Amino acid sequence: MATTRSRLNRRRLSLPAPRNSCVQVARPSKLLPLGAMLLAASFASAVRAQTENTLSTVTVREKAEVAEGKDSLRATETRIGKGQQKLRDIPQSITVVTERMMDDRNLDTVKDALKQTAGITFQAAEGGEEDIRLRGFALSTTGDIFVDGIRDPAFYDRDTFNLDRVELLRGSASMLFGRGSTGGAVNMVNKVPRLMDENQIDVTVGSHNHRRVVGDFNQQTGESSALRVSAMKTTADNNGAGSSIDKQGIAGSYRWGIGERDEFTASLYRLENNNGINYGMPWIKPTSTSPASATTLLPVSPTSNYGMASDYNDGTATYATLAHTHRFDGDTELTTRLRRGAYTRDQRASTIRLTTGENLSNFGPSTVLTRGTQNKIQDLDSVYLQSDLSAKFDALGMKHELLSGIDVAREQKTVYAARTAAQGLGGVDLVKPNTTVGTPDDGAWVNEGSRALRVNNQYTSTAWGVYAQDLVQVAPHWKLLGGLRYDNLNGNYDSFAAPANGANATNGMKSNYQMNVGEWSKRVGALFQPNERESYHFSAATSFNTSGDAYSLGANNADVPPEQSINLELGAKIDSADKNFTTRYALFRSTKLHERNTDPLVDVAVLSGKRHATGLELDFTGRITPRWEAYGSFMWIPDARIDEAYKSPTGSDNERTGARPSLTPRISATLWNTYQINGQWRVGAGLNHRGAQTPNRNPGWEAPAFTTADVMAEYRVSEQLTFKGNVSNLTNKLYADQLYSGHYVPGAGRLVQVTGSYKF
Amino acid sequence: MLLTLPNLLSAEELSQTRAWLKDAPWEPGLGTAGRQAAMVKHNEQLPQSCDAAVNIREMVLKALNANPTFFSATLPKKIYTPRINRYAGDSNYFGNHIDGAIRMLSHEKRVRTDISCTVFLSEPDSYDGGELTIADTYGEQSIKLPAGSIVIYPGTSLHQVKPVTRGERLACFFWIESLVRSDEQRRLLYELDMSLLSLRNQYGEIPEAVTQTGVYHNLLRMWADT
Repeated sequence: MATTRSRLNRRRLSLPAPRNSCVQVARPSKLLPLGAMLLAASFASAVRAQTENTLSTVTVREKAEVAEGKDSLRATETRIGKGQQKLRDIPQSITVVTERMMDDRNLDTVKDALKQTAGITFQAAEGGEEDIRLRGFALSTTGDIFVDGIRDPAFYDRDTFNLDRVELLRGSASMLFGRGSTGGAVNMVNKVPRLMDENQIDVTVGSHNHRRVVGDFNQQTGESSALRVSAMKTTADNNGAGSSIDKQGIAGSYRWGIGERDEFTASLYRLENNNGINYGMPWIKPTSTSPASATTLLPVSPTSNYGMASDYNDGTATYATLAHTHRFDGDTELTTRLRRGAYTRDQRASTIRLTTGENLSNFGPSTVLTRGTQNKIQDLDSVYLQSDLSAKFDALGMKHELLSGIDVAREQKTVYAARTAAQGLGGVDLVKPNTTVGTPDDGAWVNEGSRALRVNNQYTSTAWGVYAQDLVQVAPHWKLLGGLRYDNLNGNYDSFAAPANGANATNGMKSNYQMNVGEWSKRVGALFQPNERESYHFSAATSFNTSGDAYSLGANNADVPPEQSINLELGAKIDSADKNFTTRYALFRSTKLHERNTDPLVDVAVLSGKRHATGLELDFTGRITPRWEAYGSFMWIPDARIDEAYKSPTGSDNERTGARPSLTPRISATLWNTYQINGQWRVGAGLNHRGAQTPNRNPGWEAPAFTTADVMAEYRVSEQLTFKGNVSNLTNKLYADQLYSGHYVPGAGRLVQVTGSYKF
Repeated sequence: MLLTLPNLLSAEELSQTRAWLKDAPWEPGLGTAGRQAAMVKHNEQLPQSCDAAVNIREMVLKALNANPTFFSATLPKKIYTPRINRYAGDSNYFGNHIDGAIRMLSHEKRVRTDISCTVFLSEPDSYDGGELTIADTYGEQSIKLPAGSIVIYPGTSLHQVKPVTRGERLACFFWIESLVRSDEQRRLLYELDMSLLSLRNQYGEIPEAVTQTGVYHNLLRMWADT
């Protein structure tokens, strides 16, 4: 947009001469200096004959102070609303984690980056993926994760090496994105090529043999074209929570026509994870007679791995994107993007459990741990085509900002299962031996490669949606927003029963389920912006989830109508007097109607028919003084309740009416500060807090509240070379980071890392 | 080369400017200062996107566009977004500094700050102090111009704005990347251009004027970077 503006201004500047009260032009001389004739096409009327084909001066316009994510903790604009918008013009809560923040705190995964936003919690269900909850509502299982505004629904360990920032839109977003979005939507913004030559290499070494190299290379290739390539390689014996790391990624993007009428981008992204996995540790009670509510964490180091040496968590994400932006006269642009993605996931994990009767009173190095089998083997292919128009115009005497678009999606998922020996056709029974608490990393191994696979289920989903939203300036300080979207989704799901023992059949019986959904989403809002510093909003928005969101259907949900959600929000965005510091406040109420989530592991419908969460959010980011930069995010949810429990056939495992929903801590907060001591030294420190929260299906206990502390010190040797030291989880706090009713995944213990960054 | 041009803006334009600035949302001027300049910068600036800033810079750009002497003296290739600043009250000075050599415009464009320009928007008798002092090769010059005048000086010079002890000093400032990078060469071209202009005014298009016009263009061809 900004580049469009500079184009337009350029054009404006070379229009014929302005009305003229200027003495200089009215000077008596008939003649003009040569330099003036050479350059000033604008007063051509006086010297038309001579100035044909002469140059005109270019006036360059700044963007409205938009820093790259690299430059600041604070962001003022976003693309999460589809078109580029100022954060203050979106009547909804948004938290942005910039690259600066990711660099400062050494946040290598999107999961770590998201932890720096209040209200985010994680379910430990299927292993390594980011099973994210916001305000207690699931994001990933409803496909609410986006890359550059395009849905990215696969499960994989997302890395931050190619990210400029991570944006979190809180509350309903169906109006923009379609299905999903009760809690909100996460948008990851990839780095884009820029018109300059700038390269950076970061090398990090740290505890547990952590080695990470990230390169970011940007080369201008022409007057309006540039190429950017990012690459990453990371290895570590342990991520601080029991999993080894071995991953690499590369992303290349070529952009041409930058800032011109037609701009194109072609990009390719590839990430390969060959990580280990800590599937989770069992909960434990103090004594055999303790009530369930006393259940707590195992007193073992989070770095202990009790899985098999043969466990792994492999995944790949590959996608290619073509984008075209056409800029019309005025502030109107049409962006069309086509993305083809292919994702694979192959996870071989061990569920760790205590044997009966174990509790803290008899817990010790000889306590036996059993190792179950949890494999997730699946592929996802996706194609998305979307076209978004953003226009600013005057009509009926009012200013309008119109966003409108159409999108088409096709997603195909195939899930595999391992055959048992009895089912034949090469099936095997692998036996995992037990281990003991005193012998982590015991090296025990089974031949995972010998498993024979069959297709367990496959899902093809096609969808299209069309939306329009108008933000109208109805009075000097008032803007009204109205938006409507229609979605049409079709799902076709084949499920294959396990073949009978001895049948030597590829599969058992096939069941086919189909889903056809047509649904409207609405959003209305009002913005009051009395001055440049303050913006107040009220908004109401709906969203919906379908049974097929997680790419599986069954007899009991294929015909269930979509769940409906309503989000109400009253909020404010207020800048400090010097505008270097932004604060954000919101009172929200998210309500979900006829909810019917399904536990992904045991196929039991959980949670409720209706639930709500009401709370308060507060964010601040920016510079308090020229040297002190701060970021904080706080959420308080005093009121969250399952208003009506879902009646499931199995009954007992459900969350109860009246209970507080799982993974919904009352208070969650994060804080980060950096201080520039002098030209060389910058130091930083921060805290991250989550209140007590219950695992899913509310088994009757809470994971304890925790607070972790991070510190950082940076020394700038020269403009080119910087060294930075980080200690995360300074106190080595043992805490449950991802929760499940049967187990928890511990958060990383203390990690010490040193990074050298070289710019050239 | 330090050059002042009077009456870039007319009286009407100046009063219009003051009206726009009446309730302007001033913010601290640190946003555009480099690390070293930030230590000595104590003034206020307008956010680039606010109405007053947009209107004033449009006005200034139009006025520049209509000013042949300005073009001859600066030979602009790129003009960096004009900004508006204010020195008053507690934020009343900008200590000795050299402007950053390269201004970044978003991620896309860079401007080398060959020439610094200041358009004075307040009448000199309405404030005390606030002189722009420029340490050039010829020693230090102290500049305080009538409202509507512009001063053009090399970006390479050490300069400062002295504390304003009464009233307020409003100014519009910007940088130019010139087609001719060297200040010396620009000065020669300017002097040649001006003397040629005077020559042509006095004697018409005599053969010597044609030859010298050729010399001007050939020098420009030799030195200019387009």
